[in-house]
Amino acid sequence: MPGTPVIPEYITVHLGSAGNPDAQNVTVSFADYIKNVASSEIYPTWPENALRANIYAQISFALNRIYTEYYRSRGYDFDITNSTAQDQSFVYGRDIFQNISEITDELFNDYLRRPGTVEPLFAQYCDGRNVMCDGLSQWGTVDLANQGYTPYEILTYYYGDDLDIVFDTSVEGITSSVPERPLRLGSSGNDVQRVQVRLNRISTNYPNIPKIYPTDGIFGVSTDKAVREFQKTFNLTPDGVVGKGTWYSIYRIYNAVKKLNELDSEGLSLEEISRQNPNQLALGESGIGVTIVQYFLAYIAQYNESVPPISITGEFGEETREAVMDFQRAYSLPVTGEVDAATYYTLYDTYQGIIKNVEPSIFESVARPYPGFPLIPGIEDENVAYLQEYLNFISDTLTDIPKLTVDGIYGPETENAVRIYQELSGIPVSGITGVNTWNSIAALYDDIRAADYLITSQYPGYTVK
Amino acid sequence: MNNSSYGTLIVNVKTARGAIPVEGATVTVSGLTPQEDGTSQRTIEYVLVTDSAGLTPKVQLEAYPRMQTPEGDEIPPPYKLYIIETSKDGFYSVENTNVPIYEDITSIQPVEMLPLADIPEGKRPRVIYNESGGPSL
Repeated sequence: MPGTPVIPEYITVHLGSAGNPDAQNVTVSFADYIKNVASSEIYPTWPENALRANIYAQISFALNRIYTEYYRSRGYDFDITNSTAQDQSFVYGRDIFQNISEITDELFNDYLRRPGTVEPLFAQYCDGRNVMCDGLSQWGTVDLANQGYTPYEILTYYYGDDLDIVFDTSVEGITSSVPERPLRLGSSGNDVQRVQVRLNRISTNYPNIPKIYPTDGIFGVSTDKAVREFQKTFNLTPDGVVGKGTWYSIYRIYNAVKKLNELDSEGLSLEEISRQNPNQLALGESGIGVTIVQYFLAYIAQYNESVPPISITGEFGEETREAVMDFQRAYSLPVTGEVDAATYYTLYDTYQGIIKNVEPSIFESVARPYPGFPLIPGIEDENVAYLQEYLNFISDTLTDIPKLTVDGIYGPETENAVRIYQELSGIPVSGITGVNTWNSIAALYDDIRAADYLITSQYPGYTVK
Repeated sequence: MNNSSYGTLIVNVKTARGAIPVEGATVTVSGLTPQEDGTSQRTIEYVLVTDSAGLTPKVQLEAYPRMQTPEGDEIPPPYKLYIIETSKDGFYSVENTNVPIYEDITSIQPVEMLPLADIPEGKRPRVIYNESGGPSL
């Protein structure tokens, strides 16, 4: 809990009161959670300033629950419930409203706190007609907004004058904060290039978004077109301007696309994935059987929000146990937290179903996963050849990197190229290719490849069908 | 009270937590009219197909006239209810029921499709989300 609050990538919501063990958990992105809460708690027909004040309160309430670990510290495996008696309303799967969606995309990483404290405000509220409370009155915000109050004035009316709004908090999983000025036609620089590379990557899954070429950091007509199409696809105002809402949406979707590909390229071999249940697996065990179960869970979690995304460690820890229980709840199995035969077969069949039914083109192979050991100067290995191939490919874009002979030998030239790459990417310069350097090179290779993919099928300046 | 007020609906069909759009999904939008016996009668309003972004066209649906601050006890809710059914080969069908539509507001219905498990025909549950209308205000 110590430290400054960050906006979590995901929030796990218990679909019932805290004491109900049969209720399911769902894990959704924080922005999607707030859009849903706002659409469930208040009417979208209310004046905009009332909506904004309510959304600030909803964000702060949720962040307070997460920051104080209100439920986690009491042994629950979720961050918040959807019981209005305990927390705030969340109707899983519901429709959301365009105006609420746009306001939330703009505000989702702003929250309320008392001056001199770091904790997000426990921003209580109630409807103000049927239920009265010390906090904000939902109906009252409508009256105040109609009297011309700003969102901040509405909030101080209820929560007192000693109230700060913290703007643009850092977001878990997003390393680049939003540029100071919105990006638009004519902008240039690294931030524009970041947007271009990410949109190109997204467009391999969303072919309606035209590829940008070249990804040169100059916001030209093709970038403008791609941004507008992205905005249309993700319910943002299609104005071609990358402000806060569009910036974070691009990162959010990019991360989702990327996570899917990472899991895919980590893929298990055919011998590893067998329908044979390895053994009964439970807390405290480790080994390949656990790795396979974790891989299935992580994979299914990318498709089913009732299963939380977990890391693949090979150790059956508490996180794995909770994910197994969520999986068992979602698939109507006895909730034991242990992987018995029935659970294993259901995991296997669900995983196979995804592989079979989702467009195979999505699963086109990308850069190879980290070989599992560091590549060091002097060795000879096929993985060195892949490294050399990737660096050569990248050197067309990052021209400071010299071209290499692809011979699988980690000689002085390869070491030098790795050093230059590390320097350019802000990785500690060692000349050794460990897991971070490999993953960074592999990811950039994939991103550039995704951008290049266009060149064969699309030409800049032509209308895309 | 039906003097031609309309809201807008767009259905957004995706899989893999938004990472993949589902193209060619069939989306049926029906109105729900409460009957005296407590059930609801369905009337099909639109049958739509998603594009390569997973989006349906935007459609107009009847809503009740906007009321921001109703007074008194017996206030009709300011929205009308619909049911949205989405299907596509290879995925579990999804039904969103009691979807509220408000006048002059665009509703975005996200539909997260789950690929079918690799099991024999037969046990194919439909995923149902009851949106239970609007807020309890």
